[in-house]
Amino acid sequence: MKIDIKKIIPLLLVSILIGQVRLSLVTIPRPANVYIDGEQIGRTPIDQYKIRPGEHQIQIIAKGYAPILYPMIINESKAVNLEFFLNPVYDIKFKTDHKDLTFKLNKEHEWNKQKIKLQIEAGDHELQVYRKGVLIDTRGITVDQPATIRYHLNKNPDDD
Amino acid sequence: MIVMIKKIRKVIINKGLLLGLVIASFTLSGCSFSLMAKYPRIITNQRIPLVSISYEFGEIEMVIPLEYVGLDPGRLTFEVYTGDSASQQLLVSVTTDPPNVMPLFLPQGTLDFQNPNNTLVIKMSNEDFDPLTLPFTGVKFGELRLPPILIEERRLIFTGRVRERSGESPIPDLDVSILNFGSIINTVYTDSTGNYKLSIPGRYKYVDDLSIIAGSDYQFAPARKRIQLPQTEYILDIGPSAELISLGNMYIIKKDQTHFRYFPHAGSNSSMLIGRGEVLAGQKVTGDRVYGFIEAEIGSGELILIDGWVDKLDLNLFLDGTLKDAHENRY
Repeated sequence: MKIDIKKIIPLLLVSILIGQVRLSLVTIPRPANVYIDGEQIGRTPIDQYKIRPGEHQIQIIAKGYAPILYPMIINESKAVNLEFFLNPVYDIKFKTDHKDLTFKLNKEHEWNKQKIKLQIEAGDHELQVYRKGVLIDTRGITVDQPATIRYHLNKNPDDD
Repeated sequence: MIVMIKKIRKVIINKGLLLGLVIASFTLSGCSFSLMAKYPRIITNQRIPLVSISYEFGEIEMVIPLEYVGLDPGRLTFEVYTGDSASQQLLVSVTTDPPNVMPLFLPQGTLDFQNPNNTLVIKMSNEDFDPLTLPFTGVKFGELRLPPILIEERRLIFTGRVRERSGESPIPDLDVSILNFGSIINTVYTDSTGNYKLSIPGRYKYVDDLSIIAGSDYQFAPARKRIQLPQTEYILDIGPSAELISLGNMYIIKKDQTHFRYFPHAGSNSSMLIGRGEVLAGQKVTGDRVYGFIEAEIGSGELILIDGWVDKLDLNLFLDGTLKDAHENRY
């Protein structure tokens, strides 16, 4: 059977266009760069962006705010409206007088300097303190503004 | 004066020292932070982002243009089904006076938009109409405009066969028409077995003078019958009967309104005017006139024989299946 490409292409285009969902995306605050499936589609507010239904990775990056990576399934619909609330990142100065400690924040971010500048997302975090590889202290930290955090070990673990 | 200048210089020097001290202390304290190491990544707490999601679901607007022919269909009921015959589901049913364009609204996602598994059924309240069943492929949402749909009453269907009267053999590829007061309503052609099937709009069942005619351009006069409903099957015999053929040579009338005279002489009265294609079974020739018999069908369908004279100029001789000019040949 012969297939007429000229006839098929418009049909495919129509089916592709019909199958798309209109995406609107805003951030609070704005603007922010928006990436979908790794490709930058613009800065917020985004309006009338055509997206196919299915699984997508939405990434939002704005200076001074925590980046967002949001996996989402776009359902079959006429339009989808997304509103992201960005969480600020604060400059935190971290100081300690102890020279032989290693610090780990959220079990992921590690340093051993006595003074260090950190950029931390607003909210609650967990600080773990190690000495020679042994966990000696765990504390909760709440970040809600730029601040200086001074760490003092309350007791000598050798006392235990 | 000199003393004054020295005092001012001393103050300036003292203030400069003071300023220097301030700058030095500020620099040292500030530099202690600015020279701090900086952690290279933003530290997040992996919280689920706060996001508001809202969907807009469109609707399907079916646009159904309608064209009306013939009888008043009465009120129309539109029904839309989805799913194949095994799992058909009624989506909407609306009854209304006949509109020119019927809009129907359906929620998004209710129609099959990949296959023609949706069905529009239009039912008319007038019993002369059959329901229409139209399969169609849907859309996800938005406008779905269907092609115009003709609303027409149930058609009258006629069937039958056209055959030669003499041997009842079928005549293929012969035109068959239905006429109303001489105007053709529809024409078809017989198939290889002489059969025909012909339909006309159903509204003609309410008119008088319907007739069926076969072989309008055939070598013999067309066969014609008056249609009498509810009879819808008609056998149409065309050409001379075996009896007529046995009576003599076959002459065929060349033109319409040919005089069929009582006597051969000039000025003789005509018993009737006969049409092109009628067959005269010639028995004798006198001068320029031929005497013979023609067939005429009476009301009951029975054939009767009528004798008379026809001018040779108006005749062709039908011999061995071909026509020869009777005037140029002495038979």
